Amino acid sequence: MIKFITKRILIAIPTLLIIIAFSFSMMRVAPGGPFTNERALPPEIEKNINAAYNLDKPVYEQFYIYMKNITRGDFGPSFKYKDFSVKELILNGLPVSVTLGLSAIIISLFLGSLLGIIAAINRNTIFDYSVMGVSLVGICVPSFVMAPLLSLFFSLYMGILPTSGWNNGNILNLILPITALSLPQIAIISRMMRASTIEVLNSNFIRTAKSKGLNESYIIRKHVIRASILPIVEYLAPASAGLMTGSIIIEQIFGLPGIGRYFVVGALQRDYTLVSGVLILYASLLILLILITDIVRAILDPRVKI
Amino acid sequence: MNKKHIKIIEDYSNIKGRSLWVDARRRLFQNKAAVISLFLIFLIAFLSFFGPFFLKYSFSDTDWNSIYYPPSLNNGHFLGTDGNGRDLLVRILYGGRLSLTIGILATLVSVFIGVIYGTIAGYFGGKLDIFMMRVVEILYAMPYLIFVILLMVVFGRNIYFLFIAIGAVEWLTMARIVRGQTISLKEKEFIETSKALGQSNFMIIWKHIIPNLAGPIVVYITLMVPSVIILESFLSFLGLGVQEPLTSWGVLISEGSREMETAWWLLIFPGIFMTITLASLNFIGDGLRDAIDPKEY
Repeated sequence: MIKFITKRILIAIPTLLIIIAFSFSMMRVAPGGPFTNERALPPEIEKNINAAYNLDKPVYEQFYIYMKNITRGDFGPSFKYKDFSVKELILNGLPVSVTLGLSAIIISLFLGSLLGIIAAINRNTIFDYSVMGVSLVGICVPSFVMAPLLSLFFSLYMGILPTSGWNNGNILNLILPITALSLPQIAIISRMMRASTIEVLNSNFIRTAKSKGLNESYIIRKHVIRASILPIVEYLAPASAGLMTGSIIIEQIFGLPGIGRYFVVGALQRDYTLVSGVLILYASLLILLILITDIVRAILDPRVKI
Repeated sequence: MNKKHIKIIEDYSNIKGRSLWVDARRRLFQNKAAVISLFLIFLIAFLSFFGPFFLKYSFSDTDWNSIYYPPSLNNGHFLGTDGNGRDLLVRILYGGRLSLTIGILATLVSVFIGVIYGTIAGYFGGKLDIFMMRVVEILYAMPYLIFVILLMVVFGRNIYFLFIAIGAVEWLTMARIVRGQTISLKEKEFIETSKALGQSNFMIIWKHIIPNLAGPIVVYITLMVPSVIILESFLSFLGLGVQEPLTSWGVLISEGSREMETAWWLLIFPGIFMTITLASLNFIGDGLRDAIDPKEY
């Protein structure tokens, strides 16, 4: 087990390094620096600014400084938000994004698998058809259509939930964003879960369990779920990636001050350090998740050789 | 051999063989959802490319007498107008033109990269394969949308660059699929025969491997076009994609969601067009997959 984990970590580290190097070099080849204005700055001021941000040093030295700082959690100062460092901005947005993302993933995993299992057990009944029909809508309607529609209906038409804002994490403000964020994932997960549960229900070891005379609910709890949840575990990393990118849109639509919003603002204003900081943060989260997924899968699936 | 036997043989020689593709087409046309979807897609594509010629307004015309005019049959603004008095129907059709074009072109870019990459990795195998697939694995760990945004930030917001950027990140899955298929194909006898006859590696890949990959490639193309359309709309929604006065479905939905309090139609209609397109493409993709590769299901 330890050997397996160290091997996965040894793959993850170069991946992260390459991503850092890539985002760094992308930012360097970008045309137009952050201080490019219509009005040219006086040369001495420009020189001072460049010196302050280490832009006058050779590229490899800049990269070395950048790497050194990242290991200390320092992504440098934001080019656009003058008095903030990227770290401060990220720390500002992190609670919002984490609350949003974590609740969305928990809700979509729980609801998605539950609906999928129930639909598979009651295959070809009204319940099955309605779950699959609704999930089709969830897959086909993109989140940036669904989110405004939800707020149009629940906030403007019904007037029961606030349209936007964070409001210190008030639960009422969170309902719509979390719903919009998790709907597509619930849809995908419930379909996957239904398919895999049906496959497991038809397999030999379930027939054995049934012929032993175990009751239905015991079989499902102890045998079916453990096997049928595997594709969902594998889907965890792509799902989280989807939630990360989804939250960029959702934060934008519902005016939540999360990381995604800083990222968009940074991208629109060419705030290089902010964008690459967020990219590296997201990438490392994703790599961590893939790592966890591999380990969980190894624990769940007795066939995976560790 | 008497006459009866001869007759039977003649009858059989009149029977045409059914190729894989004829079979696949038959199965596809038995799938009702896929047939309806095919019809809808052709309808939307046709309207997007030719519809604007038959409408009174152009996509940038402003009609100052009807600003935020709700959908009506009275003055030719069938789906209403936006805050600048521009006709929504024409703008949706123009947006569809752009969204579909980007969807198809970006998909072709990524299929091109993915097929070449996948066949090379799969065909040559060994250390090259391990290295190339490790690269794919690393790129998989990138939150790819953020990666596209990074590319858009660096190279500016230009629609030609947009589909290259999208195509450049969407090829990973294609490469994986193609590699897997290539590995199983290259062990087949006809490839060995070609090798024995002295055919070059390039010609074997070009003449024997790629044509045999047509099935999965076609299926994957139909499933990738919708995801590219979503990606483009996503970027345009954030203001990083297509710029005014050009428009795409993403831009329209983004505008619509800002103005939905005063003009609901600006959000609903582009959303409907887009959803129908995405749903249809997904159904066609599923139908094609079942038709071409029935053993999977």
